[in-house]
Amino acid sequence: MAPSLHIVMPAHNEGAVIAKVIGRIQDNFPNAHVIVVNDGSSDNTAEEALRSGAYTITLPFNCGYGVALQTGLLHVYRCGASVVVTMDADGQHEPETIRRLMEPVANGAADVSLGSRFLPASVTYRVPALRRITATCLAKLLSLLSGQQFTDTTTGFQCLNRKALRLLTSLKDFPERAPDADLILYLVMQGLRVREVPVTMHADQGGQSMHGPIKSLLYVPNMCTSILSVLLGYAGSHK
Amino acid sequence: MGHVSTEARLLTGFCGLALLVWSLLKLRRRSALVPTCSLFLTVGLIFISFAIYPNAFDRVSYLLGVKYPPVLYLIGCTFVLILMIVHLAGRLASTDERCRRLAQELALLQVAWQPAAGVEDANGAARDIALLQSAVLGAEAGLPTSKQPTG
Repeated sequence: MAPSLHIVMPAHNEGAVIAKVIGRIQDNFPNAHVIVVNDGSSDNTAEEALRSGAYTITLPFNCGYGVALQTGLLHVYRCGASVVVTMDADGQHEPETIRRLMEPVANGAADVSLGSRFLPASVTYRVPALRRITATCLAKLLSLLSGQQFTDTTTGFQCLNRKALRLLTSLKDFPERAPDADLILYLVMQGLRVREVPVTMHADQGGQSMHGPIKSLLYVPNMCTSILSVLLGYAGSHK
Repeated sequence: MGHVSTEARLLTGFCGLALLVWSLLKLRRRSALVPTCSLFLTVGLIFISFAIYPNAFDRVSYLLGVKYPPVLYLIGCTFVLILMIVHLAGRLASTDERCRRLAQELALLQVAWQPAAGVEDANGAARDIALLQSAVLGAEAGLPTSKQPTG
């Protein structure tokens, strides 16, 4: 029996687009379990997700992308999921490329695959210059520290096997806001095989960006500190 | 030894006494943490003792080799404040983590108790409850991880 696919989507105020995103996933994967983690939205995200047939978990208040993501992962881990795809609820990630993303994990070549928008075969929107520079710098830093080439460290389009799932759900200090380069480094340091896959990404189609101007400004120093904490073995503290 | 005026001694004594009374009231109402109260009680007692023995601070200062006592006072204050910040930062981090876990478990439990929310994964929801129950029965604080890794 083929393992069932679980798709986890953290969502915060994505009521305008979430139904469309879920619909597109269901068109491509009719048997997939779509899990929406409503991160304390103030709009109709939860209602729209429910109406679209997604399993909807609602956090009591806005806890941050990382917390929402880990909640979804915790749920699918307990459900016995063997392969899980995480993606954004704002329509940025193309459900049609999930198959390509899953390939390395499904055939056992990797424990985690990351959808990259900066690989040569990727199809992407015009990424703002500052964001692109930041992403490139962090990717270079991550490549240097992990000894492996990475191009896109801020991707939320990922595929994990059960081994990775177990590791992430048991992680006590799961990054609260932006689990990006720090988490990838942690996975690599834990001996997991992480591979990047070219995917198609669009500009977000609505909702609220998780990176406001102040958060964007603080993102790089916070991420560097988080990377340092991973290097110091801070993140290795399991429950 | 420097001279300390009566007004300064009275003010120091009053501040120390106010801190003592405030800490004891908080402690009685259990509206402040015990370690915080004990810190304020200690500070209050130190203030009162300096009001009674105004030259004691100067003596301590000279004993430690600090020739200008206010410098020792500043260093002491800075140290205590940093200590408090470190302590509160630690408590904030642990409270934040507990709050996050609580929110996660609450969300999972809530959806498990509302079948309409996730009909397609009702089995998973039932497992959530069973796992949570077993974790609550046996575990220390922390997320109840399910059956241990199968790899």
